[in-house]
Amino acid sequence: MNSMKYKRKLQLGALLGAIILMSLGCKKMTEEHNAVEDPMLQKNLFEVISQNQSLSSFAKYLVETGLDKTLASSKSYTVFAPSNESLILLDASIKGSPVKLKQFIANHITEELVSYTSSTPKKRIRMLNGKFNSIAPFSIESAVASQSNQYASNGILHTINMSVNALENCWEFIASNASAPVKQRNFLQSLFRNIFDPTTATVIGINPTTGDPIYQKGTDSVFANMFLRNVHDLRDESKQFTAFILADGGWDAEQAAYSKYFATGTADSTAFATAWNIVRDFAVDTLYTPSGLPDTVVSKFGAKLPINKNAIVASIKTSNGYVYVMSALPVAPALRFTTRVIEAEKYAASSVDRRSVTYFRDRYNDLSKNFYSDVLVLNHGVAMFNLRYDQAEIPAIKYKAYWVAVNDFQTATFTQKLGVGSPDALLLPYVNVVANTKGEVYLGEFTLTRYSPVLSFYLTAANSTANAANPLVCDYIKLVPSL
Amino acid sequence: MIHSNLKYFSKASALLLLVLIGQATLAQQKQSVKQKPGKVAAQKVTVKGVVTNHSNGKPLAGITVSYGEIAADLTDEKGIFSINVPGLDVELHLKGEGFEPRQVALKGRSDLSIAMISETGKSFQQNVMLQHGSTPLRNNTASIGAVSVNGNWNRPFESIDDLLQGQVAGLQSIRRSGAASKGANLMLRGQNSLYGTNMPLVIVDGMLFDPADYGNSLMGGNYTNPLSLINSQDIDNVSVIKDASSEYGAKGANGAIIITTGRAKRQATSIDFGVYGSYNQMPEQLPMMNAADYRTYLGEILQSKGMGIATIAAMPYMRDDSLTNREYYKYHNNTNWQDKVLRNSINKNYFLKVTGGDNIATYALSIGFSNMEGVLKSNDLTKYNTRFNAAFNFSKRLTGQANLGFTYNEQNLRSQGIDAKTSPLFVALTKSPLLIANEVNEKGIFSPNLGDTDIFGVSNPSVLIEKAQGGSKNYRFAGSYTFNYDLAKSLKASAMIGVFYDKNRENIFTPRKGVADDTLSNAIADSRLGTQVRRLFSTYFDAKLEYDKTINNDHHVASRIGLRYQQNAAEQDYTLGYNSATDELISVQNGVGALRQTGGGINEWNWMNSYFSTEYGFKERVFLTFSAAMDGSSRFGPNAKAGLGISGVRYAFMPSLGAAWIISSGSAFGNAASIDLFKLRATLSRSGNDDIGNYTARQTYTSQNFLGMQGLVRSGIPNPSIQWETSTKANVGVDVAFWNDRVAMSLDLYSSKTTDMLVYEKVLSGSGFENVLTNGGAMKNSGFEAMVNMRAINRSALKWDLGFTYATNRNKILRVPNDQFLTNTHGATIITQNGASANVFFGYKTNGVFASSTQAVASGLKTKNADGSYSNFQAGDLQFVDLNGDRIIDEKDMQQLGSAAPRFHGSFSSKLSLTRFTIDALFTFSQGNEIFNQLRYYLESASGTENQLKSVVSRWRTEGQVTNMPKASFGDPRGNNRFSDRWIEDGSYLRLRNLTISYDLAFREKFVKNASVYLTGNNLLTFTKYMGYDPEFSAGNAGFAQGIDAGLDPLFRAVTMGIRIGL
Repeated sequence: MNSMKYKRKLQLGALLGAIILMSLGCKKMTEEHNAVEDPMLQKNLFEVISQNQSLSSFAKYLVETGLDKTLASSKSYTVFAPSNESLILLDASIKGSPVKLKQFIANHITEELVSYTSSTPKKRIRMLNGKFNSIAPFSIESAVASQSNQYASNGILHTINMSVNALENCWEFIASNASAPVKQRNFLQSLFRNIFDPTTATVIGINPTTGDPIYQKGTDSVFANMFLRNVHDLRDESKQFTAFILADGGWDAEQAAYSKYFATGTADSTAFATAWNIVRDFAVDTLYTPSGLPDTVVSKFGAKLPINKNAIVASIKTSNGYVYVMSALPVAPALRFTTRVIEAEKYAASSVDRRSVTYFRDRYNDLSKNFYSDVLVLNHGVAMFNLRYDQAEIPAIKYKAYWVAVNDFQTATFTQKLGVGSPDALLLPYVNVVANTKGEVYLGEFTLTRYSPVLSFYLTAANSTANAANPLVCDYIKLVPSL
Repeated sequence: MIHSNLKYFSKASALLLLVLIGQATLAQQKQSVKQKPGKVAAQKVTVKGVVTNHSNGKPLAGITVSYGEIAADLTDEKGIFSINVPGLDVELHLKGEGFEPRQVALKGRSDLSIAMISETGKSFQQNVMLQHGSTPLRNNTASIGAVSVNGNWNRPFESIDDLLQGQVAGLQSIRRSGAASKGANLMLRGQNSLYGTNMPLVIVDGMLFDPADYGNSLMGGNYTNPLSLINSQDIDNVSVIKDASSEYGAKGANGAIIITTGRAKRQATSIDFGVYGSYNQMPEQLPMMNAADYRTYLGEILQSKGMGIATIAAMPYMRDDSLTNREYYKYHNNTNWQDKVLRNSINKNYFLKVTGGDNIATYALSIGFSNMEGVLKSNDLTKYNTRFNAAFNFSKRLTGQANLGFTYNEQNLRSQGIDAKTSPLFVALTKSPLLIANEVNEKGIFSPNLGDTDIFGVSNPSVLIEKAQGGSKNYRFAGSYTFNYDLAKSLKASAMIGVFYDKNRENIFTPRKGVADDTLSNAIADSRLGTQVRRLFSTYFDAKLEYDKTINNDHHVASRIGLRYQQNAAEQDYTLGYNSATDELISVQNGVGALRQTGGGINEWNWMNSYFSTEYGFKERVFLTFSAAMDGSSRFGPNAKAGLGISGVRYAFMPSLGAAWIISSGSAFGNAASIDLFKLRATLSRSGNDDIGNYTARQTYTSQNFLGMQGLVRSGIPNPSIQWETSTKANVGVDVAFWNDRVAMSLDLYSSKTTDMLVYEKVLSGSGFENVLTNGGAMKNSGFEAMVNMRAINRSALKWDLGFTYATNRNKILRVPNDQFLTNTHGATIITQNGASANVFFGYKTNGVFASSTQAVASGLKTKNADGSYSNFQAGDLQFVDLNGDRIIDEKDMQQLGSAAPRFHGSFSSKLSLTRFTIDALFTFSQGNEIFNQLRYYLESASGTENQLKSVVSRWRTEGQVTNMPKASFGDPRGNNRFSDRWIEDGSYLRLRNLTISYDLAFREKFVKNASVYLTGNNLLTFTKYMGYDPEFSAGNAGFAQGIDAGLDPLFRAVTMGIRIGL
């Protein structure tokens, strides 16, 4: 009996033991599946870098700049860590300045995940300092990866054979680099204005009569540079630019050559208008490397800049493109002043509201083989009814004027004219609009003696209230500089 | 239709009845002639013997020793008896209070020495309750599993379907989910039907008990389990008839479970009272990524979406400066959302049962109250139940029974399973850990208010728990009266009239704040409201004439003929509302009028079954049974091919034959008294499955709205030849008992073939419909079952019972349209193919992850995109097995991935009684079943901003990294998450299902008869390789839904303490 009991106890014990063993064994299954067993995935990027002897300098700088904490965080990064050898030659000015050092180190870290393969697409990636670097298979800028595709819990690490410097961007070079010419820079820097911008404005009331909001003073404008705003924002790291900056001599020569075309009432305003109209052509948002620089660069405003490579004093690579310091960049007026085409249907205003008899027509011109849209005002009953067109930045030159006005609605000829500056200006005469004339009609030429920031042109109907005599029709008006 | 046929039918049955009665009376006359010499012969030989108690070898007094109905003796204090029998080839019956009954074949002996063991409740001498009353298990020809529930005093929180787990070999009980009273999916001997029910027929106290949940719950993933409306504490015993259930005709194909509720066993009043409390332990949480891991993952997934790094860096969860980022505190947390929705909880149960009566009437009355809190916060169930069972002796000849039960449930519930908007558990798993439940301002001050949906458009799990509402109130009244009238000594007529009425009312409210919007066809739904009522009314009638006669003590005949009729009406009505004005307005009438949806359905169906059965026993050693049923049903099509046609209506004819031969009682075994029983049995039967839809045979119409035009359209093609599925079963078994009846063993081999199996056949597309339901399929199941019960130790102070059940089943599809078809459900693809088993997962096989681009290019593998173009696999993508070698991974590369059906399943049990202590343990196991872990599919797919399992940290990140977790790629363009062996897991398990320690208290006070204390543990230990919460779940009753872990509320561990006092 006793031995029986003992046996039973033994058996129960064995059973219990087996259960415990099994439970331990089985427990492991689920845990095993979810356990992070890869040792690399148990470390963050900073841990991986700091445990790598050949990256000890980089690790040291990471700690100095506080970026070690960033790389230990739970965001994802790709780090292009320069080897110790490549950091020996690090410029003392960078080492000495905490700001510059952080810029420099951050130029090796991106939030983008870059896994190198032989088919990694070439592209520019945004680094932690906001600048962009170009990557290609196993390289970043001119550095080459000596060891690639190491991973950690929060990103990827590549070791590169040389450091990637954080360059100035185009604007930083032009506006602040000591080696940049002074006169053009000074002009560009003088272009800062307070510009109305209600996006961040505080509304303090509503105008009871107009219903417009009243903004608190000082909040309704931004301090902005007209060049960066209206031409190209050379500070934008995500784009790439080619910019030209003239040496002071070349700048002065261009000013002298062009001041007559921008004559205004005062010397100051003449100088400003001349400088603005020249400088606005000096940047394009296309990247032209020194080797790829073409003969002619076309600016945003249509000017064709002839590039004389011999005049290049210096080519500066920036983080977002190239800046060329030119001894001279003379542009013939014929290349700068372009033909203007004014689409007649896009008028700014009419002398009298005649919308009910105004027609915007879509037609086919069987002469030019083009589809076109024009404007036709019929039966308006107003003598010298006119449509106004505003044109900006009109230089003081001679223009030849043409139009295409298709009279396909009546057989009788009628007259209309282009008024320069005012509806009844006498610079150009009334011209016949003969039925079914589909080609360009020469209107004559006129000479402007002063530069106009904005000049109005008027398409004026005959001085008659008779319906057959005073229609107004036009496809476009063309102003061709005659130099 | 059925009514008119009932007339014909009743005429036919009346005729049959007349013939039978005629025969019976004839037989009676013959018997009365023969009986006289039998009685004389009865006293020829005297048999003497001594009866001892096996545990201590001491003589037993007061044991009744009997032979048939003609001779009996009681043992004296020396255990000696003496009895006169007609010959030495008969059998003696021994019975005594507290002892296992014995039946001893004399085999020529006139001097016996018999050792009896105390009650085990598991021997073949036990009586089992079958369709027509109680018979000894020994005398049956069928394969029957008997479960003695005895009032279920130790596991009061489990419903009967849960309790049956591991009790009967071949009965697979798979619990549906961890929510209270969801019960289990029952399947007997495998799956017999693809589209019909696989649930055995349930009969409670002689009345059909419909266990189906008609209509869908408003709360996703929920199931209203009618079996939970039978309080398990009221149940006395359960018999499971695995074969030969032909008597139930077109409802018997899946076997039958016969439940008998408790009634008064004696006339003296007895009062039993039980109080229980249970501690439910929160399930072990799934290891999800923490905030840091998640944020790294998030950065990657957003980059793979094509989002620029500047845009990503500007997101509030990436900006780490609390001064400039106004939402810093909202998005910089590390929340374990599982903690917010799961909890430990408490259950309570009180139960009182009074039995008693006098010689005119006995009664059993019980009332109970339960409160069960789930492990999911806000989920609970309050249950009130009462039952009244009575037996009346109106006169000597007229007796009656009444069984009345009423249960009322009030349940708080939420959506379960994969529901990205409203299922609290699923939302908690996928919700970003960066967020927090409450609102927080830019200074980091938390508000008591709960936060709204987050930047990812994900609901707030705490809102789903605390602010959303979902509830169900349901009850079932089931009552029946039975009258028995003894027409003659051996002829009895009885009639039962029963009714049950079910009502289930549900209300839901999903607030707008904190819950992701839903999209309707014409509006965005922010708040969602709904109410639904489901009703089921069923009347039941069963009348029979029974003849029971023992002739000459050698021949026993029992026959019966009867008619059952069941009339059912089910109705479902629901209204869904949307966008109530505020979250304070929660009832459905507050929804916007234009968006209100109202619907429902009415179903009526009738069933009529006329049956005949007869049993014949010779000398208690040879038994023959025959039964037949003829079924009519409103569901059968008028042009059905099988069965019998009576005036244009088809009746299913279901016969069965059974035979058993107790070899050990005959001379073949000589005097080998060590074998107490050796019995061979066999049955051959045919039964049917009438779960073919109520109106499949008829043309039905459905309302449709097309561009504002309302109309009725045909809802399908009718099949007037639709009929029941036919199941033909063969069973051979052997029952063996030896070692003083201490070991009882049953082995069964069976084969069952389903013909006329329901399948969907494709129809011409010109018809406007895709398919039609026909009886064109066939399927086969065959298997082996073993059951062993053993009294391993039998001492006076120490008794140890061991039990073992084992079942293995092989399923084979014999015929389906086009030899195979695919079914897509719950994100799985399932193939049904001739020659293979049903419900085989069908998908891709994988071979790791491409570590590098070189490897991916070298493989040359391409995937077919949705638009028909191809794209190459890249580094970090999964390498799928290219089955046909064409370098293109498409549906041609899919292969079988295993089945949800286990290779074998069963249980071990152990009951150790040590003086007043009893330790009861039940282990259940299932081996070789595959699981599609759909929940893990969502938690490892790494294709969206949802939180993922910790395993996703090991995902592929860069060239050359060797891992088996593919890269994070938004929207999964390369199809890494297609249905593959990646999600198929081994669902085998061994579980310590139940462990009870009970202690019988000794009371000196006379008024306390007995008192016991129980300590029960449920689901204490589970050994499995399965990686989800729990390997046991059932996403739906259909075979296709088996083995799919749809993320239902998991089962949990619970410890119950209880006390029972008997007065």
